[in-house]
Amino acid sequence: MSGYIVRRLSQAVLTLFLLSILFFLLTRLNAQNPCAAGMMGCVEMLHLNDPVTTQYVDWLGGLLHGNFGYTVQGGMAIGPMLLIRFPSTVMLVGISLVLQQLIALPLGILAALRPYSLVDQTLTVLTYVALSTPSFLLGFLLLSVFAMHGPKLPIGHSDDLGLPFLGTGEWWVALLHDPGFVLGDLVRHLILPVITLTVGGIAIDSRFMRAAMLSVLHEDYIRTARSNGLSRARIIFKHAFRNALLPIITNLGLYLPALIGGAVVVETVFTFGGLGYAFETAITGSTAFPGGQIVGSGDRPTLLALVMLSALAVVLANLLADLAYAWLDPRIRLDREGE
Amino acid sequence: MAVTDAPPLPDTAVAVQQLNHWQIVWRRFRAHRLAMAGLAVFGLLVLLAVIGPHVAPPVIVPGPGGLFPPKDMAHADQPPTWTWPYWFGSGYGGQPEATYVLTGEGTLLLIALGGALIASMVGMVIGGLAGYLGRWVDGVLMRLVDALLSIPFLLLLVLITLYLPERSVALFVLLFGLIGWPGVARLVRGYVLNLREREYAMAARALGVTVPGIVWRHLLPNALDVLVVSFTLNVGVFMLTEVYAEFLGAGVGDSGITTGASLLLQDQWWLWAFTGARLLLTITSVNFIGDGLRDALDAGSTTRELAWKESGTSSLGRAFIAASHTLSAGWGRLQVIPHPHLPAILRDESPTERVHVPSLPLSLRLAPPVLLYLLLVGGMLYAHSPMKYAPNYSAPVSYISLLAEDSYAVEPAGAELLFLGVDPSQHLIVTRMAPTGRRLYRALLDTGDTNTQVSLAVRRARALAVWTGGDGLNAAYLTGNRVQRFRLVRGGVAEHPDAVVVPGGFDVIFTWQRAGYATHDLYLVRLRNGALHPKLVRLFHAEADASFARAVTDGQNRLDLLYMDKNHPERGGWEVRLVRLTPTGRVLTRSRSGRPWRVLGAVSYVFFDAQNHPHPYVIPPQWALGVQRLADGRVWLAWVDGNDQMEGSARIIGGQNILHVQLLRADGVPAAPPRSIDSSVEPSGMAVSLAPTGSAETAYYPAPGPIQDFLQATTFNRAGTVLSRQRVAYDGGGSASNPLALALHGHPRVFWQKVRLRNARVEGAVYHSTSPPDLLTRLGLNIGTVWQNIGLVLFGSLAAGVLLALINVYVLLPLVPVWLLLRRMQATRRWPLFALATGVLLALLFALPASPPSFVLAIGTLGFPSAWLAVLGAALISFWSGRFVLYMQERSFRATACALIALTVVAAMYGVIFIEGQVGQI
Repeated sequence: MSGYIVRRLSQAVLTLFLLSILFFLLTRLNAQNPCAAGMMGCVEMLHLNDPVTTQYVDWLGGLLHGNFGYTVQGGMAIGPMLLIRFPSTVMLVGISLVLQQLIALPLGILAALRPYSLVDQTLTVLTYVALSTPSFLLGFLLLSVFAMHGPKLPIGHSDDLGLPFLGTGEWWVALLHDPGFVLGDLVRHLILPVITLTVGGIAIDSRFMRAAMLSVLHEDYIRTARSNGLSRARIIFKHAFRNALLPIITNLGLYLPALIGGAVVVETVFTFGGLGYAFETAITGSTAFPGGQIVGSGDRPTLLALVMLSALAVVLANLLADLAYAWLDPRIRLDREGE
Repeated sequence: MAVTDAPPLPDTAVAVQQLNHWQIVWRRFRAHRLAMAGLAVFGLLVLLAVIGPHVAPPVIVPGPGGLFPPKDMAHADQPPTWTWPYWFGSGYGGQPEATYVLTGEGTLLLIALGGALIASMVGMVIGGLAGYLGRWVDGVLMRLVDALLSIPFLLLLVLITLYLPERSVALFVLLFGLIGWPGVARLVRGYVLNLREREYAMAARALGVTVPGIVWRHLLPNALDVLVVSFTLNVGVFMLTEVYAEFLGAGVGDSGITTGASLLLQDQWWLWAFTGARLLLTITSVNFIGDGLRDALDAGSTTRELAWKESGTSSLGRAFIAASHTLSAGWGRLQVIPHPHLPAILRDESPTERVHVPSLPLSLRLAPPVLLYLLLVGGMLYAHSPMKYAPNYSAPVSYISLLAEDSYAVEPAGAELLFLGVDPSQHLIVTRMAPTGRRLYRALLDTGDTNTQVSLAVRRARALAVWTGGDGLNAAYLTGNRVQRFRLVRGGVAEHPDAVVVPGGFDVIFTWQRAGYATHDLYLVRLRNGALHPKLVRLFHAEADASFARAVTDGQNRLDLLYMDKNHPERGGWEVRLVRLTPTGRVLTRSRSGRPWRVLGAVSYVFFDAQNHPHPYVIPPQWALGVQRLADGRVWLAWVDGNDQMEGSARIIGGQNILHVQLLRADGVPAAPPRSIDSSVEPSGMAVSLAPTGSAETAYYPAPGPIQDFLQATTFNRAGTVLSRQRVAYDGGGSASNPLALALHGHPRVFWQKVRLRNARVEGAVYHSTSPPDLLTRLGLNIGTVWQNIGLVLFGSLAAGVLLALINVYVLLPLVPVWLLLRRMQATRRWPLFALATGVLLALLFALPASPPSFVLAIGTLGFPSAWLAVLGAALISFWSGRFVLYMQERSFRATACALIALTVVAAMYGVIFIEGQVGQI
């Protein structure tokens, strides 16, 4: 096990460093000079004349100091700016994740118990349609029906004007002060984004569950259990379901990156104040310098920070999933150690 | 995973009709009803892509001045009607939506199909090579694949496209192909790994067929099924990714005629519904076709198992997983986990040779790298230590007048400082200075007034200087060394300008008594587009003789305004108030929930006369009004008031002066009562600055002047508790005045003006909240708290080691083909040639200014002697790290302990930092 952990750890660190170099070079790609003609000292100030390598070392040094840099617009520190948005995204993604598992797992089992039945085939078709729907389309539809023309759900933002950011100390104070208002406000703002996120997730996870369940149901020990005269329900829930859960659990681990990456598209549609929205603003925003000319595009330091964090989350999630798998299933680590 | 089970073909049919592989596949595919339907729809969509652009109404281009033609404007923003071309409604400027519905399809199809094709080819070659050659080729390529798979597809795409010089369809096709191949490569590699152990590959090898020959002639044709499956999967995923990229503004959308870009409007349903329906049809049909193909090809072959392995579930599962990032998580290509139920050959394994390393004592192996890592990291930290900058600052500004009001302003402009001063001939002096005190630039502007008040705001090497003088409020806009001068308001008495940077330009707050009016009102001038279009907004009636304001922006075009107001009905004193402005400059007096924005009582500076009647006193504006916004939207305020006594008409000097510090929530409501600190000194001048970042917020409160010959700085933590007070004696002689406190690079700094008889200087001091310099600081290694120092040295050493290992691989990668060429030579001839090639490579690396990441180059930026130590360290580490890696492979458990210790340290480090932040916030 220890050898396996070392291998996976060193791979993860290696991957992150590879990625940091790649990302950094990417953001230096097509590096237009943001300094207008005649702005003496600007280039030196932004260290644009330094070799890319020096800039990289500077950036990495800052990163290791916990300094993600400053936004192009407003010069805010990126780290705290992202940290303050983190709870909103966690709330959104977390709720939809739980919801989608609650709905998807029974659906998957249902489909697996009677493969190729009418129910299964209907679910399959629906799954394909849900999978093929860009989430912003669903978001627009929901907004149009439930926020603009129907019941007046909020058309955007994660909270009402005047409330502090979710999860900050002030927010808790406000919550204690008036729980009904704060929670009600939160729920009203969460309904549509959560539905949008959940629909796609159900489609994926129900198929996932179905596949896992099907493969387990074909195992020998199920046949053995059946020949031993166990009841159908017992076989399904005690033997099949528990074994089928293994890939499901690792699959859940793989959703971890979503916490960092956020639901970019969904958050953009609903202007939800989480990390995803920060990403979208970083892509589209802060391109105009006071001269009026558009220089480059995107808030490069913020993008870089978000991308790096996202990669970290992905690598970490994979690491955890692999380790969990190896821990749960000795065959893997034995195999690997036996190399 | 079939929607309809493929009907089993009767064996006889095969025998009789002699169907080949693809005929069988086609038969199976035809039996798949949904796939056939998808194919039909897809055909129609291809037709649409071909014909659409010729039928679509043209894009309406606005004429000069941004005006749309009147005949089009008549149809603007209309829902669908039956008259062509408004079948699908129309949008802004009368643009028929039909344009977008009919023209976007081609781009989508081209990008997805072309990209998937390229991805398949690249993936096939790389996966085939990795799978067949195995050993280190496999290792290197698969690490590359791992790294690429770790990046969410959409994210990488967006990152690249943002910085492309142009966004064309051809470029996007290439891009999708070059980003999308790792999945294919992994699949093909697994398949080839499986196949190469089979008999026919062995037979071919035995017959003397070369490696490429075997791969090309035998393995790849067999892997074609896998390729087709991955191709169809990729097309669907690429389509979604492209659409999302468009939606996020990173697609080909600059032309305005692509799929996602036209969907951004949401309040008019026809602007997204029709285009969206087309997208939905396209992607669904492709997915159905893909499913049909997979079922048709599968037929109990290993494809299904491989795909299962690939995703941890069924062949379709990979599609779901691959699509899941874009759908549920927004992005995220989830990495593949080998499934345990598969035989080992199918898993992501390749036989590796064990390396025998002669054993050395552990200490011998570990000590050199560890020591050198520490050395190296010390050098790196030295280079990045903030203490590198001169802690004390002294620079001649210019001949600051002894006669004038000694007005000046300092602002940090990146690594530089801008100074404004006024000289005896009433010239405004703009000075740009390096932190070392070297003067970079100076300009003289005629102010024409003796009573000049200046303010300065700097944003990314552009500065706005505002001063009163002449006949109104003047402004100078500085871009680099060019100064553009104009007048903001004319006539009346304009006072107390405060320039502030807001997104998109500058705002200037000032009081203005217009000619013929009795009151001073508070005004805002908004300068946009390079300060060329000033817009004057009267904020509100402020009634005050000397009310003045400090403004702070929240980075989103809103302004918070802290100002003094005399209108306090009960107490007749001055009031410090906070007002929030909307982006348009409107004053927000109350929030939606009814809570007032205006806050903060605190009568400021009331005197009591002999009869104990309160008398208001005008506070000199430069004394102390500080406002600072934190990253999370909260606002720090600081102001000074006093309770001096009056005897008759004479004020007793030396009474109490109290500094108040208060934290406001993001919505403007005070988070806690203000903390008040008795300053005990008479502030002849005072300034307040609050550090915007970091765990400790710091207010500076210097009070230099003729009475006290020291500056006093008071440091608070976030809760308002006084952490320390520092008194800094300034160099005797002359008089010091006008202190300015600034948050510079996150550290509060104080500047003050010292005027001697002969010359005038602006001096500065930098204070850190840390204690007097310790050993680390003196060595230039201090980067924060003790834990941070310990953690960073350890973590940094780990990082440096990995970085070096990486750079070894990447810098020396070009040497691999050289080595392969030289391999068969004799050692005596081989080594000199190899050394020569290495030398040439290193020389090239040194010569190119923007070469691939090379640690050698990075070292060049370090100063002496750490640079040479680092070079030495790098050389030794390269050697020792190689040994160490081998050692790790051999005896992994000790390495595990090392790694775990390192991880624990890192975790502890961040834990401490986190806790510190939490504690500080309470």
